[in-house]
Amino acid sequence: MAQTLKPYLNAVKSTLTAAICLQNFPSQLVERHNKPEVESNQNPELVLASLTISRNKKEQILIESSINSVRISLRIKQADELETLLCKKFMRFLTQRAEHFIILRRKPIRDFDISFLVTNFHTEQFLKHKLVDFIMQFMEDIDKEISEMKLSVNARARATAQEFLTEFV
Amino acid sequence: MQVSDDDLRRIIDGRVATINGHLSGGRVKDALKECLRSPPAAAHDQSIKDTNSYAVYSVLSSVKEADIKGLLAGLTPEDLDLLMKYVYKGFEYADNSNLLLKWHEQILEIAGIACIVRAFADKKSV
Repeated sequence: MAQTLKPYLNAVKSTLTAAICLQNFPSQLVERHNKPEVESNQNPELVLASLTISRNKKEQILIESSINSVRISLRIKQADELETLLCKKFMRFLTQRAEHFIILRRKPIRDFDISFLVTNFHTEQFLKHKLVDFIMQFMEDIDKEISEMKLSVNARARATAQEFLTEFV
Repeated sequence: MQVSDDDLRRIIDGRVATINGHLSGGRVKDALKECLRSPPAAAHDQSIKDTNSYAVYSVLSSVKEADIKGLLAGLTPEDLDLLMKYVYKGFEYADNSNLLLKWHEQILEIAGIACIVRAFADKKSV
């Protein structure tokens, strides 16, 4: 399992570097508006092909690119019900604070757990390779955090159950 | 020259049969060459494209890791671009990702990051 991680991350890194090539593009339909084309989806000529990279059926990343924006959606590994619950709560915690994350999307795409939206304004403010590094670090850290949380939940549950049941012994 | 969907379907079905024949005979190099013939980019029906890409995916997943480099050696840049598109399509099936990631890495080494940009930007989807 560990040996797929490195090639997976390398593939994601190269694909993201290729996808986040953005320029400013004012809306063609509404005067003086500037919309991320991957979100508005009104002009098929401005939206590029969407590519998936998967490590296995449970872990995937979908990258949809356009002329001025890229949407990156992650499916996170959830091995059992407890992890699904933890993942959901964790993602809700993050998406509620999406303003501070800047590139986070408040709602994930259907069937995915979390989504990012990177626009040309972000690439003007930030360094592209740093954005890519951030997303890859995020992917690595999420898995670690969720397993850590699962361990602590189980440990706490065991401790409380022990405390409670010693009353009856 | 406009080829109708039915003609494309017949061509692709014929091609899939040839590919399967090559695979069962162990002639992986021939199977790969057959895969890389012009893809049905003009097809209106997605199922034709799916049959084709599934056949290519089965070829890609039947190759052993060590052989990948040798198979990629003789290919033209256009072939490599096409193969990269098929690799990404293969990721959607999410089986055998290990092997596909190896293909991705090797093609990237030879063709560079421009290959991925073309996979994104080419209107003729696979």
